Amino acid sequence: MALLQSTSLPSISILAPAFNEEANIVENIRSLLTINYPSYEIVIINDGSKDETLNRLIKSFHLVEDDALHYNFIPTKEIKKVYKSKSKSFKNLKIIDKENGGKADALNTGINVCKHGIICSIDVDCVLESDALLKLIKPFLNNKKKVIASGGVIRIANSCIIEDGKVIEVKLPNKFVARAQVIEYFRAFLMGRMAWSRMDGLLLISGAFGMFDKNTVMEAGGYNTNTVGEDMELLVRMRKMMRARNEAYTVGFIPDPLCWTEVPQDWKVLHRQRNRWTRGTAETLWLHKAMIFNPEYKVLGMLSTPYWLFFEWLAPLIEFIGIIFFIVLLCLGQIEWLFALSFFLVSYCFGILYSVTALLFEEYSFQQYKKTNYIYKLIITACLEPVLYHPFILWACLKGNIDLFRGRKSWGIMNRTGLRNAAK
Amino acid sequence: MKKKILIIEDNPMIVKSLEFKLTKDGYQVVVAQDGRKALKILETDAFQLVITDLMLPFINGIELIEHIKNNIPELPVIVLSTSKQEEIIMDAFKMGVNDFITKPFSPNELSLRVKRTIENN
Amino acid sequence: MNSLEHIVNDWPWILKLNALFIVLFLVFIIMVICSLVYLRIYKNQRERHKISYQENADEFLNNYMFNDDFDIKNEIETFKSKHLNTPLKKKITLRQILIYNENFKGESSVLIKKVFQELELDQFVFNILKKGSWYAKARAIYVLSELLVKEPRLVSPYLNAKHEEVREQAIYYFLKTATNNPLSFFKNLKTELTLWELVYIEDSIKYAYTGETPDFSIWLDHHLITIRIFSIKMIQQFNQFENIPKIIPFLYHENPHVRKETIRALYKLHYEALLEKVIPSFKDEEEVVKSEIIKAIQALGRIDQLKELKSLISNQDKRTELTYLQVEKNFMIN
Repeated sequence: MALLQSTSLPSISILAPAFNEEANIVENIRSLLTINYPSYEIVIINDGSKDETLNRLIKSFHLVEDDALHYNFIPTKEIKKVYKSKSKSFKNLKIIDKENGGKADALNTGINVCKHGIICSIDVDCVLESDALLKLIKPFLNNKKKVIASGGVIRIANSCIIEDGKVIEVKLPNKFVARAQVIEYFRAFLMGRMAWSRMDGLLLISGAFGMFDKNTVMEAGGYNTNTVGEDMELLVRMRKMMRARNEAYTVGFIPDPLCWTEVPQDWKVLHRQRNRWTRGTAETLWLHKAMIFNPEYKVLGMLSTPYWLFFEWLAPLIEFIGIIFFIVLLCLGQIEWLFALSFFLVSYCFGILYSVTALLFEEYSFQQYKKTNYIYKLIITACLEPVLYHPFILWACLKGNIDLFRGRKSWGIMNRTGLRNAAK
Repeated sequence: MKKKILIIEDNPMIVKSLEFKLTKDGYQVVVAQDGRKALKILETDAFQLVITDLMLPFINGIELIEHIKNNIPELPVIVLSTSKQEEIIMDAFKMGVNDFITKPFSPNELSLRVKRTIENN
Repeated sequence: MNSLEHIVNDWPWILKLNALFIVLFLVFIIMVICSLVYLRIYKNQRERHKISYQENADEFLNNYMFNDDFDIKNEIETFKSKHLNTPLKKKITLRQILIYNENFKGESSVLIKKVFQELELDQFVFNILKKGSWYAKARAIYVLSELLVKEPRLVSPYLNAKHEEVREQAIYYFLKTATNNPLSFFKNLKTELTLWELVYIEDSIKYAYTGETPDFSIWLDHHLITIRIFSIKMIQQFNQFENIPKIIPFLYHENPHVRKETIRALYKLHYEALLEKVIPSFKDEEEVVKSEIIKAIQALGRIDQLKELKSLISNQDKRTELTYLQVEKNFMIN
């Protein structure tokens, strides 16, 4: 039975930061306004955009100043004005205009101003499935333990046909670089996160679409404005706090595809994105290094954080050292080709096995890519990805580490084009 | 000549049954799945009655009714909708809708009301 | 061939191990790819079948409902033998019956429930309920609820099922098929209900249950705290003013959430004497209750009653302070 008419489901505040989004912001908000959920408000935080974002919003949604009270529970950059709509059709829309302070600061401002106890942070350009909120709220209500956050599966919208904010037809991306990311996301969501959530060891809920208990977020101090990996850092900090309080809690995960987002099709943009993800991971691990190998944190201390340390952060470094070593040996003429080849093939085959298993999971469960020839294309992509795509990612991660040690903090020029830390 | 009815509805089961029932009643039935298609069909073809849902893809029922009442005022319209909100029903009647049937509905009753509406016009 | 064996035998162990792994992985890869392709072909075929089965079912059901010249007796036998001979065909027909049932009322809705039994699909559903997997069972209970099949003894064990989806459906079944006293299954419950289940029950009473509104006060002394809170809330939502005296004692309950819900229910029911009962205890109340008391003043009280509380709100308690300021502002405007 559908619960969509229920008046007793908790109200949700959707928080969407916007920075220089004039091109699509009106369209995006219209699509958010069609979500199926009995009670929610949409809070758009205009993070000091330099373009026409605010004016377009004022004009399209008939905005007037909202004089409701709010309190800065979490310190943020100054709010210039809060707007609401004169029109009844947009009565659940709120726009905050503030000084630029970055994504984390924008979300914190949203947390301070929004009305409801459950917050849902999203990228404004995401396309949500119409029952996404209903599915994501379920873990909060259905658990005997306190639920502090829940997340869902992110899908790739490149090349899909989208009309009126709904995915009409799912298509496989035309470009190889996007197709490789389809495989990457399958591995990350259908295998990685599923397994981690089973063990209650999730460390990351994608900033692109996640739901949080507002009080817990506020008690933890809100988003950290000093890291580029604010989504991961927040969840880790919340979990640490709950552990310190010795309160039973959990983090929910919904395996259904709930949110569609565009991934970078441009190698340069992809490079910047991965560079940033690496720095975000490293910063988070550094801030919470006390958790790593700390038995007090159980699964988080003994498995999750070590996994992130070795396989997400250090793996590219180790791989790079291996390549350097190989080149040195090559120069010295010390390579036993038969050995080298056998090791290469073992790892190559393992990589492909992992990818095609993820494909099988998808085929068995959701089967989003319905056309028969898509499956062949995906298998071919899985075979090419380790040699054509992976080295590039490796390089981007390395560059991220280099930038990190040089002390680069910014998001890069691609600031908020909707390419968040989604697949890790 | 058979009377022609245009049905605008996106639920294929309802469409199938309405088509079956109304054809049995001796009407000629044309179906449009969404508002956009309906407008196109209305441009080229003449009908004696329109039965429409309110929640439709692309162009919603209210917009569609507005269009019909502005351009083909003599064409009667019956709304078939899940909406039980009085406000919406009142709005529809104010726009000149001839009848309003809420889902779930009784096909036999609908058939009677179709007959009455066409005869009254 | 012999020479290859010779070469391999001369390899060091690490090469042999690697070769073994490569072969192993390759075999797995091929197996996975084969199952991928097989699955895809199987699913495609199943989809095609589903469409044709659906057309058959629609054709039959529409004739059954709307065609007066339809030879029902013979046609049912033919349909059963030709179009209901596999589980998939039965499932598809069942799905179509549910869709028609959901959209039609009046005579057609009676007919669709009748055809369900005439096609002996009820037996099919009972079998699933006995032997199926948990998700099939959940679905089966849903079918029984929608088609109002009265078999409470079959469904009742699932009220305490392990999977929440099954429990939900069982709850829904009892609410949907009840003609009076829809909450009588409360007495069979052993563990606290989750919020989701409570929302589900509330919704079902409001939208699925068609009988007389029950008296919620009989559950106020239930051993499960969630059911007590639920009853208080329902007394308010259904405006059962006659039960006000029965919920007043809960203003002094040990659990702050019970107190909060009671205050809320009472001010929404316009119980005028509420403020004199709760304002004196404001100072020592928990945060959640404090905000509720302030809201009660907004609903029933005067601004001077509100202002008396100002000095009692601690500087640390920002949330209560914010509620206070908001309510104060609302008083000023009105």
